[in-house]
Amino acid sequence: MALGLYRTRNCVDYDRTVVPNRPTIEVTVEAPISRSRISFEAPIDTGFSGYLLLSQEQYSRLSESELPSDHFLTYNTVMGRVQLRRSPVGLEVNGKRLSSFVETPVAGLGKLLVGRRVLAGLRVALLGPETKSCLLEESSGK
Amino acid sequence: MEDWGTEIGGTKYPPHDENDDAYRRMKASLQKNYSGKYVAISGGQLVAVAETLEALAAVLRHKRIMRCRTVHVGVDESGEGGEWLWGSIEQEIASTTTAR
Repeated sequence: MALGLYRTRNCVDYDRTVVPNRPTIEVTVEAPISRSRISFEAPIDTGFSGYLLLSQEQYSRLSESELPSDHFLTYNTVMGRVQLRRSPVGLEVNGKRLSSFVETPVAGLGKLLVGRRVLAGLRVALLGPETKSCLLEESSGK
Repeated sequence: MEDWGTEIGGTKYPPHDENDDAYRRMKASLQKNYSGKYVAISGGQLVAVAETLEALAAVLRHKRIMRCRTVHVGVDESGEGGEWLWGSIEQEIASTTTAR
C-alpha cells in the first residue's frame, strides 16, 4: 500500500548515552495559565500508551491546571499497576501545536518519555542506521 | 521534592485537596449544567467555565488564579490508560511507583 511521499524535517540524534541508542523527539511544553514553556528531548516509547511522562519536578512546574484525581489514568506494567497524575498542556513539535497532557506517577519519581497518545498525532521516522529520528511532512513528490 | 501522595496503612493514595473534594461534590451538577465545557475549581469553588482550555486559562489569568483543578466535563478520560511496558520502566522506578 502506497502511503505517499514524505520529506524528513527536524531530525535529531538518538540519545547516545545509552546502548542501544534511544530515539528522541524535541517537544516544547506550554503551561496553559502562565504560558511558561519548557523544551525537552523526550525519548520515544511505543510501549507506553500515555501522553508525555515527566519527572515529578518537571511536572510540578507545568501542572498549573491538573485534572481531578478521578481522571488520573492507571497503566498496567509488568510490575503491577501505576497511577499517573495528569495535567493539560499545549505541546509544540516541529512547529505543530497539539493539545495534550503531561503525566507523572502519583508515587515515585517518573521519567521523561513520550507515549503513544502523543505519537498518534505525529509522523515520525526512526532512521536506525543513521541514529536519527525525524519528523515527516508530506511532499508534493516533485 | 514534594510528595503529593498520602500513605495510609502502607498504601499510597492519590492526593486529596479541597479542589479534588469539591469536584467530587459538584460532579453530577457539572455534568448536568456544563457538559462539553471546560471548568476550573479553586479554593473549593467553581471559578471559571469556558468553551476551550485557552479561554478558561485567559479567565484564570484575569482572576490571578495560577493553580487550580480543571476538567473538560464529560470528555476527559478516567480509569484504565493502557500499558507501560518493560522497555522504559526500570527496576528503581517500578519499585517506587507500582500500586500495592
